[in-house]
Amino acid sequence: MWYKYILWSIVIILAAAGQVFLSSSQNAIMANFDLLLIILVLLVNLSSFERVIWFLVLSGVIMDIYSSLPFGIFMVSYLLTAIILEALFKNFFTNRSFYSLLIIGSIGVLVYNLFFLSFSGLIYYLGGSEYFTNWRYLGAIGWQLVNVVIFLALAFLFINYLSKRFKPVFLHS
Amino acid sequence: MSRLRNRTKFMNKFFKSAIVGLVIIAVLIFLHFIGWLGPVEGLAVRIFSPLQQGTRAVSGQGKSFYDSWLKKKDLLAENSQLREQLKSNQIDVSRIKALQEENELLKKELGFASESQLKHVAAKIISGVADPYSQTVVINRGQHEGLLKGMAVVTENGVLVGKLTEVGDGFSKVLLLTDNKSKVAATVQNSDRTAGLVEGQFGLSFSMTNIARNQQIKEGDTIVTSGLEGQIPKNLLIARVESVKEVESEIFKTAILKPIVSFADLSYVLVIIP
Repeated sequence: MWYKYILWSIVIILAAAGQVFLSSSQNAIMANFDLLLIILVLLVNLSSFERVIWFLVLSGVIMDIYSSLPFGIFMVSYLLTAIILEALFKNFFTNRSFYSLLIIGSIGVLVYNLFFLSFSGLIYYLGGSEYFTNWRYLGAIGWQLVNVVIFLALAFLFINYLSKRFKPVFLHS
Repeated sequence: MSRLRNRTKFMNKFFKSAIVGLVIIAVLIFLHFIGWLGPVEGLAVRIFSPLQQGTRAVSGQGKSFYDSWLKKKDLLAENSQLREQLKSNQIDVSRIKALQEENELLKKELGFASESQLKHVAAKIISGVADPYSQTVVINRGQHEGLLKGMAVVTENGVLVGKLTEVGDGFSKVLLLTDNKSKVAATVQNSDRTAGLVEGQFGLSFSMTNIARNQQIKEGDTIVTSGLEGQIPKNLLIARVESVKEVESEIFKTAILKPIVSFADLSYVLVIIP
């Protein structure tokens, strides 16, 4: 059984490597061909959602490694697309017909590009990486957390001493 | 009742899988940004590098064949025209020879890689990138060779083509000048040293913006790096001015630049180490 997972992982990795080649191709037709999205749509129709998740995480990592955008955009875009397609497949296009496959595929392309462009545009606009990868900023948030929790703990003890409005669960009242 | 139970079971499973996926992705993103995923990324690039290089070479040859096939008709017509011209023109052989000698001398003087005092690391372009809207390439040099984010990337003739945006374990990503996100501080090679910003234009070309209206710039001027960016030395050749755009209502003018090298044909580059 384990060899099936390894084989499936190898297939995913090769598909992702192929997609990197297609995306970076100078040919307009090849550059607009999304092999991973096609496989994703087929998996949503034919396989379990766990397998879909495994596919998009592994292929998304490869795509993000080869991406100039902030790491994670491909993975998140594929995940959200998969969630929407799975919901559509289970609730509306349930009969696995030719037409439902084409409609789900079309919706998948539109939804994926909507998420991808939104995230890449939003991060470019906000300069997101400057905030999320700056350790000083993250450290300051950590200190904020500590300060607020300590203050709230002290406030709780004080208010609990004066009134019975708080329920002192786990504390000796 | 059983249908409702099945549906509830499916929804629970669905949400669990989605949340597990989201958590895994969040962990991977966190590991990337703290640098722990670096060795894995470097290993992946090294493993795929031969495959990517091979497919990139095949793709380039396919493109050349297609371009040649398209140009064949034009070339045949041009060929007969040139034959006629050749018959009627007198070619000065001695003048051409003198020009050739001068050309060799100038080439030696301009020979960037051997004569420049700047340290550099040679690198090969192994792949493009996965996002279709980006003008970025991946080279086969990284942290171990002393590369840092922001360093200039030039051709063997010293023409700036981009700068490093990401440096990994055995690989780096180069943002080409034609990318929309690319911005390089530059000046014009004139007496005023007119300053501006070279910005990419949708992967097709680039222009020099933020040029003050009272500054001199004209067609044919040479644009070089200003040295105002920490990692990029000054006087690296960028492009030539093709035209200047000036609008009455705007306080800055823009120069459309003509690239000196073809960005589609890049294979080997040099990374300048300041």
